[in-house]
Amino acid sequence: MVVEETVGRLRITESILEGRELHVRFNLRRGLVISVFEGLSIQVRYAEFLGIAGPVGCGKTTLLKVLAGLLKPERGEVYYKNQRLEKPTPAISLVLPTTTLFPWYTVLENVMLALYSDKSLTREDKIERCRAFLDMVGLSAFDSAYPSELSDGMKKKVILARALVTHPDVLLLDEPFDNIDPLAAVALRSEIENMWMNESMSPSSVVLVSHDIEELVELCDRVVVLTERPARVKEVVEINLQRPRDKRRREFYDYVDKIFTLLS
Amino acid sequence: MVLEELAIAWAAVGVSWLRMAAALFLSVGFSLLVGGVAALNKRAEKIIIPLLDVLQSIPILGFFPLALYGFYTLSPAIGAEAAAIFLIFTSQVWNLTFAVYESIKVIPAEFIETSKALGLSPWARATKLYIPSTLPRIFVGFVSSWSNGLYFLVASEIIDFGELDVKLFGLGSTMASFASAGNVTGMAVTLAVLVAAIILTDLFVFLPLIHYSGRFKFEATAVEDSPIIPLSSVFKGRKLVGRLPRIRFPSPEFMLPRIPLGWLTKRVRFVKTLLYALAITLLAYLIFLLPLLREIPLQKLLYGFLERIYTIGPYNIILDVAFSLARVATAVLFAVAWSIPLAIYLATNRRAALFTIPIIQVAASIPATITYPIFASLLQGYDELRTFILIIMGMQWYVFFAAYAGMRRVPSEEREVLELYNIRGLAGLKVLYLPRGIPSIISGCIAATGGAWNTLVVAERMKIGGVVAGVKTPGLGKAISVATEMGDIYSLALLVAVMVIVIISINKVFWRKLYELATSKLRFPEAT
Repeated sequence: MVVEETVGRLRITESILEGRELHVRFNLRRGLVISVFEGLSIQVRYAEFLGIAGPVGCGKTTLLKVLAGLLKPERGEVYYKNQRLEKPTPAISLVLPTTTLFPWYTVLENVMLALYSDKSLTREDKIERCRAFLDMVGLSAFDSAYPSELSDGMKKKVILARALVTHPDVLLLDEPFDNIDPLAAVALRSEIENMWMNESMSPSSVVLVSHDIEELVELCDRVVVLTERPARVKEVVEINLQRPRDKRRREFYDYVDKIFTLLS
Repeated sequence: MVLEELAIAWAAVGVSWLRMAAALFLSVGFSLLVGGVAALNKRAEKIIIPLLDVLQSIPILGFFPLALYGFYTLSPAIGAEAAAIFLIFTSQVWNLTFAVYESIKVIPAEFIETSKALGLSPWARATKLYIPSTLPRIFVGFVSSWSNGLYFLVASEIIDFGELDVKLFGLGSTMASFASAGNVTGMAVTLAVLVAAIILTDLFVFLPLIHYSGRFKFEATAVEDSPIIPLSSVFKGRKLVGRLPRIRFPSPEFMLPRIPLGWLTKRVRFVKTLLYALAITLLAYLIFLLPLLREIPLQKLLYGFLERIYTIGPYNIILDVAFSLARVATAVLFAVAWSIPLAIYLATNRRAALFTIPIIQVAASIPATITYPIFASLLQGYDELRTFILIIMGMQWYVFFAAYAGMRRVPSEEREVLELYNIRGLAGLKVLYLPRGIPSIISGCIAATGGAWNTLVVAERMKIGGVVAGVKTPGLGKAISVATEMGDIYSLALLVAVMVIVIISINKVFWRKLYELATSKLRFPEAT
């Protein structure tokens, strides 16, 4: 089985997505300027599952928005496959903690928004592809439902389907398992891990922001630990554990303790 | 020369402002009492809320001559003044009553339970819980109540009703006398003083009040959307001038009357409303005619009313309604046509909005009625055009501000989705901005339609001094204006009743159905 073999997966150290010397500041009110990053650099490697941990309010969400091209840094650049990233691209998908689905569209139509500006596909192609992804997250029966008829966990799955339907190379996840019931979270976690491990499927790399350290140790190859604002990289923890990872093992908790110590 | 006009203008504004303040004071008392009872007593609620819904859609100007007549008969000395304050009161009060009702309705249950558990007396509960909780919405309501009142203030100061010619000193009469004397400087100075007074009142009275009442809010609001300027810092700061430009204007939602539309749509029925409306119209007439009853017996009064249906003729009434309806519809369409693109442009370009919105807000706060004398002399040969301009000046802002508020309420997360998937321009409009904006655009249209009917009474025909400016074609507003001038109470009552029926029918049958349809199609859980 591929799953057991994964600890021996090829590690490529070249980066697919990279933020170089990022500077970001926010003008909150008159005179009140918050400096989020003052020269933060971060690399996301090919085929890696990267975790980002940091104290509350250190700018983790901001970092993902910058990496997705949604937020322009004041200084510094984002490189995707060694090309300057100027604006959002279908190759990089971002899942934010807020489940933003348009209430006036069905589940299927909401997922189809991701392919809206793709001129190469016909409407039928788009519907087919979106149905396939909804099927993958287990919502094939709900494509004509409206968001208000779904549970929070189901909404998350719709968001995930919408993020994956563009076949992205990089999937940026910001607290994706927050606010959903624990059982649904377990299922969703293994879903994402399986998709990532399946090398014929997108995404190649996943970046996960989470405040749940166990979750990070369970899923990630490396965990970047950030400092308080203005955020710097405090340490990068490499996690060398066999997948699927067993939470009851001592080594697992050694990693959790290590990251916890770095954060506190 | 200019100094003299300046002095007159400031004096006029001062007197008019006093009139407005008196009416506002009465409005607050009324709204606390009636709104409070409606919110606290289920049985009273069932009667009061549909009643308020009718009252707020009644054309105030149609009732004014009657009110004037009633007050005048009671006391010739202060009758005209009392009638003017009454008219302004009726234009300010409904919005505030709904505000009180809504505020008390949304007090979290645990507060009410706590106040009962503490054994507070009803009086203590009113002063310590209910009234403070209404303050944020009341103070916010002041802004739109004030501009509403300004609109009718001008009309309340000069009126010819039969043999009764009333001219109260104030903004409206000053403007009119400058106009009839052909004093352009005087008109310009009065207008400028009015604008200055509006801005000063906003900055130094209403905004500090809104800011102050923030502490009585149960719900926390996001910093970004907070419409309040920290004016306290302006007062404390020594460098007043240096700080003023940083003041943010209140968010334009404040210009809109607060009507809980979603709620009303569900609960108030059409036929019942119509019956209510007719009953109120007749009742109001009878109350004001009470002094008259000493001379004329009731049968004769009712007979006179019915006789007018025959003398005016159903055909003429239908014609009047049709022409007025066409004017109102054109005005609403016009307002929608320019409001939506501009609202979207300004909602997505914060920098442009920063300059444009305050200008629009000041322009919108100038009561259209004060400019009537100017337009009457300016557009002498173009009756329909002048009428159109006067109508849109009275109502287009409702549509614009509602559209803008709707577009601005589009959550940033939803805009980010558009950006992430590269959905721009017209596609973004179709996918996000229109669906989000439509419910508030419709409620803006409802307010605008009501406003348009109200303006008709002066827009279709007006008489200032010896000058009569009116349309040659039929119109309900024109007919009401003529009946007022002739002092024909019976025709007036009939025409106003017709207008009430038309307004309520359009409101119930067309707009609210449209609103219901839109919100259910758009799957908004509980649209406001």
